Amino acid sequence: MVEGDRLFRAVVAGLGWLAIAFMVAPVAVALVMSFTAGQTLKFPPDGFSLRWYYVLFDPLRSAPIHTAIWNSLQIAVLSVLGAFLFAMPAAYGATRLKGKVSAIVEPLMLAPLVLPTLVYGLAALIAFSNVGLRPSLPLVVLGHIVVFGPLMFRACIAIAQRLDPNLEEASTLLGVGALMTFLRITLPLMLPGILAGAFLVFMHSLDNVSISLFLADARTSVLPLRMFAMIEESLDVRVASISGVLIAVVFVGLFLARRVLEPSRRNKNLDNPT
Amino acid sequence: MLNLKLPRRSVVVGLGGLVAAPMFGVSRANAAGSIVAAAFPGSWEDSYRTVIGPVLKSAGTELVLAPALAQDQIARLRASQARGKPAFDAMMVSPGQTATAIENGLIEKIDPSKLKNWSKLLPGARTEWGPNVTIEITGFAYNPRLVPKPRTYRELFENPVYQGKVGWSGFGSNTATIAWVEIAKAFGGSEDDLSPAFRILADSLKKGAVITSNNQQQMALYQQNEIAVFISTVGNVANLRGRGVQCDFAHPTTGSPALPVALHLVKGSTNPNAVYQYMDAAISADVQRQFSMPPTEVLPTNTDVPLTASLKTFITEADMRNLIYPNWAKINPNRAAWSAEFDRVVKK
Amino acid sequence: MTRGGIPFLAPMLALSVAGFLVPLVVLAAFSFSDPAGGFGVANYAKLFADPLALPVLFDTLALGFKVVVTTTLVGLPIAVLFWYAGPRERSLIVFLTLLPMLVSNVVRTFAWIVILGRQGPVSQTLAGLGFISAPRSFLFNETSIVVVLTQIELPLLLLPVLAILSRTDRSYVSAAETLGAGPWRILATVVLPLAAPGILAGWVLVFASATTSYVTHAAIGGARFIYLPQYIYREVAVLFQWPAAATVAFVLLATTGIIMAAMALLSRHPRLAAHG
Repeated sequence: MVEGDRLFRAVVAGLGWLAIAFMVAPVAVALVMSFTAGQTLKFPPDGFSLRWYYVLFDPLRSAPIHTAIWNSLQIAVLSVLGAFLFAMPAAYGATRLKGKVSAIVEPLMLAPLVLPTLVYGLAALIAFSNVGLRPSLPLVVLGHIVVFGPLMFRACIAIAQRLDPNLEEASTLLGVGALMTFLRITLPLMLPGILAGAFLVFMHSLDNVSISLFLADARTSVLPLRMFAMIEESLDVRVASISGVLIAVVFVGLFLARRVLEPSRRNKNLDNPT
Repeated sequence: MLNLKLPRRSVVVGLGGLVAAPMFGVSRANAAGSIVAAAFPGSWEDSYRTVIGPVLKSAGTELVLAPALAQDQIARLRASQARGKPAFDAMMVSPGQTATAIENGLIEKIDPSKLKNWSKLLPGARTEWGPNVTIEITGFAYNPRLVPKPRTYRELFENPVYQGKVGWSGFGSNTATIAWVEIAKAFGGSEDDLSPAFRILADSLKKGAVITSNNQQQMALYQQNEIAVFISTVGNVANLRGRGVQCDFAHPTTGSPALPVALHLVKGSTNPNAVYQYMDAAISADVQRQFSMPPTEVLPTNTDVPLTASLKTFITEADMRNLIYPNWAKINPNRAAWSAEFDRVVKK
Repeated sequence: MTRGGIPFLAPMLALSVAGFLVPLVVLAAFSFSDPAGGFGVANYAKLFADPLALPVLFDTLALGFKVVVTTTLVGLPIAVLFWYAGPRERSLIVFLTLLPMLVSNVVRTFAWIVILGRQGPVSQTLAGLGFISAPRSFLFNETSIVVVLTQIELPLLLLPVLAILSRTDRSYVSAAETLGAGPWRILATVVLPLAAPGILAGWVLVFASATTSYVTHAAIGGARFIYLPQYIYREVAVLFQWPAAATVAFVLLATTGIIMAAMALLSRHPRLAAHG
């Protein structure tokens, strides 16, 4: 390697990893702080212990947090279900469209991902109120499906585009009905995309503030809003332990996702030999 | 190819059942008896949940608390009024909001015969629209280790020892609103003219005044020693003390603005009987005794409950005679404009 | 015979139209509603008559642009690192990008509150090294807002870029290398244009997100930094003025839309169009 190249590589590596450290640091800080033995949130923490996890899981002392977590989980699971039912077939259908139609349909499907969810939250509140749908848990779910469905769509369409139509042809030629073909051939093949999409929808729904802010009623307290209140109020240390749990969930989820998606990625790299 | 052998059908059905059940569960709770009561965020919400919640539970009613400042409650009720079902069943507000709520037809007059503890209330705490559960006394919360005891609003602006150590918040809360009115009066203004207050605020921003979004943020900054003085209530100071934070309360010499806190029955509530249960619990001697003790330490309105020794250190007889009751009729119409003006002045 | 097509798309299309487009149209209509009934620009007139409105709008857009610039500066080294990395390293980089993105905004904001606070590591280190005389809080100023938003939005910029880079054929670079071009040159003339569509997509996402991160603005900026989200929320929740809120929201939407359109046009420019 030429000397200039070596310098180049060193600079890139140095700056690159520094930047990555910057990107990941707050997550690490939050995780470390969750193990503090002290009464207040600070970094580095005053000693290490699991006490705040015990407090978090104690139903007596953390009842409102448990309610919020339960609500958020319900919403997230329902949103994943809804996204699956709407977006997965849509992704499948979209791959079979002709170019011109596809050029209109795809941006429409992906639009919610780009536009600010805060604006959508307000718009949804006004629009749905006018048809008599009041803020409530189901309404939050609806909002999440509309806004995060495209994540599932995008995840599935990447896989769907790679599906070999011959497999389906073969199935129909053998006399299997359209629905059965879909369920037993197409669906399993799309599973990696579906699972990736499900994970993304789940996490985004769990984390979302702006839509829940507008569409949730007084009864439906959700986790991110509760955490926000806790931060503003008193920098309650339990925010750190909740964060710890969330980070663990993401970690495990990503790890599993990599396992599930690994086979397809290896195939991809084979297409572009380095 | 993938080798995942997930029993697809059973997973979906199982998930659906698991998730749908609680949703039906919620509406069942509605039928059995549950109310949503608005309460001030922070220690009010917490203490109502832990003290009154169980009382109602033993009577078969589920109490759900929705944190919201008095002014926010008005906004939310007006929003939900248009759609039929009110956002909550019970309000917790001060006289300014009571007036607005009556004007907008948001609340109902109560039937005192339904409240067992009605006769025990101080005469002044019995109103047509609901009982007063306490009187919040506002003044200066300060850290005696960092600053001397403040006596007037003027001092906080003019005495260099307080520069950069005072936290101010806007017109979102009643406490702050009436403080600004007092500040205006101290500098030559009135409820009709708050401009002296805004002028002195603009001035103090240059000298490092700290602006906070709400009371919660003020308390957080106080605990981190970012500020040493802020406008607050006796209850808040007691709450901080209860958490082991050093904090004292000082009455302004010009008089301590007082905020009676009342509970109201919202018009259109689906469970008014439960709301009466709730009100009764809030004015009962047992509950009020608990609230008059640390960490909440609010003044009781039930005559059966004596003032605790600790409360007496906060408020003496002389202080009680020096209470100021703001003129809400003049404050209400101006509040939105003042709020906007505040934002304009503090925006960087 | 091709399977699929419209019938499969119908449910999501219907949902998109009824659940997404219609509310946005309603929002627009609401903002153009006249208090006396009918339509008019009364709300917009009122909005721009408020001395606070234009500064807030301007500050919000400026914040968006600042964050776009900073995320690009910080993100570029990561993208280049990714480009030259082998499959394992690439996988790690993607993992480290997805991790913060999926960890809630609220969590990351609260971590920053502690990091930037008076007793936090930034303050302690600087005081220890003698750069500042006493520990102080680094919260409640615009620089901190930009720094925190940069960290929060960085994954949004990186993901489209990394996605494009991973699909790009390295033979382009090999060709340039055999022709004797140095790495900096290759970067500028080959890699950058290839990554451009991803960068533009990332910019739009970062802009939209940075301007609407209510939690971060409030928690890191405090009460003196007022951006459009707080403005909207105040109109809705405190002042119960839905038409006014709708107007502000629509202005924000329109601005984001214009920037998106500009980016879209830019990406169609022949020199920037994606190859392969």
